[in-house]
Amino acid sequence: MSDPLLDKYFEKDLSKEEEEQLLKQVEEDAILKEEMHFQTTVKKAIHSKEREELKAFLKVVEKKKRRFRLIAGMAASLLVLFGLWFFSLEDSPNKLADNYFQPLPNLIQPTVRGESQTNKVFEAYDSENYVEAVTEFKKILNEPYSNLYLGVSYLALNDVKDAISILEKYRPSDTVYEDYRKWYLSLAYLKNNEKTKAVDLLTELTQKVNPVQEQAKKILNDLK
Amino acid sequence: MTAEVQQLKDGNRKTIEILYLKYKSGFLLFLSKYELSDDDKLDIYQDSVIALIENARKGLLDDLKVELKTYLFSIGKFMAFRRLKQIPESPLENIEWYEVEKEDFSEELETGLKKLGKRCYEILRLFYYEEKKLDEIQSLLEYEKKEVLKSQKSRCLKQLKEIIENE
Repeated sequence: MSDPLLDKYFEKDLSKEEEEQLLKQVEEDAILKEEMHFQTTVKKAIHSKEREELKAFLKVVEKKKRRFRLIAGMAASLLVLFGLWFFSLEDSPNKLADNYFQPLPNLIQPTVRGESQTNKVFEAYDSENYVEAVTEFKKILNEPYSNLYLGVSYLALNDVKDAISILEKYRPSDTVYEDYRKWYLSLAYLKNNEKTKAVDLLTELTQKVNPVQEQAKKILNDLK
Repeated sequence: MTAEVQQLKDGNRKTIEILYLKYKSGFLLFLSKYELSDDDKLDIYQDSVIALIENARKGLLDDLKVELKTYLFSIGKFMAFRRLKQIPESPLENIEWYEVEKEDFSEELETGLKKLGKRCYEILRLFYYEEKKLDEIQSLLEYEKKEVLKSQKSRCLKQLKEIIENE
């Protein structure tokens, strides 16, 4: 039995009059009332079934992703373990220095905008173009920071001898530059297998508060 | 209509999977302003994706004026309020969510639907779940006459009743 108005009701296609008419019929006709109720429960049960199936699928997607992350995580830990093992084989001061070496961030340029030479040199330095940076820093050696960045650039290029010669001669007036000078010089010494000289400088760095104090403590500990 | 919406309408599982993973982290972040547990948030996300698919199938996304992501997030907001038992502040007008509780229907009806023949279930699913009109179902399932489909639908409902009674 299919009442045309009932179909239209579920199609949400009833006009105002038809809706009133259906409601009236439902009130008078117990069978129609029951049919309407039954179809409504069918509608609800199908919604529930379809949603449960979709939800089950989404949970599988979620699990798949977790499993992937777990595998990725395990692979990453294996890599770290392998790295540690490799590191323990190569635990030379040279390797250690490489691990600790990070080029000094550009602390200068943002404050001296507009000077074309400074812009040029730090553009090269920031884009890790150290060959050009060396050339450019040499042109502005009278700046208080130039020798420090020149030394760091040499070190980044693995030109240890030049890095040492520049940083040994450099006598900055600013204490922050001096702390960084000692830090990079000690890394250069380590790369040059001059462990005693490095340890002396690093020990000095651990004794007062400065930006590289913690790093110096760590590397000394590693060197033991 | 975008290709993504069309694939959602077709019920393409791969599309659903990609979409689910694509918006998940952003959606959970979006929900962080509501006081909900992580389990609740994930549950709401899954319900919202389901609502998105349902509304796409109902054709409500055919001329979507906003981005799919925006639409999905509005559903999320609606769902979050619903979960917190608060009245949602005016959701987008083309979001629909048919409320269903487990106690709204019997277990017998649930199992009855599973026992129903494939063709019958498909007709009822299209009519009651996807809310397609009989005319659309007629062309989708290739019935020559609408009357044939209508009597088929009636027979399916009768069958379902019989299955339930024999449970």
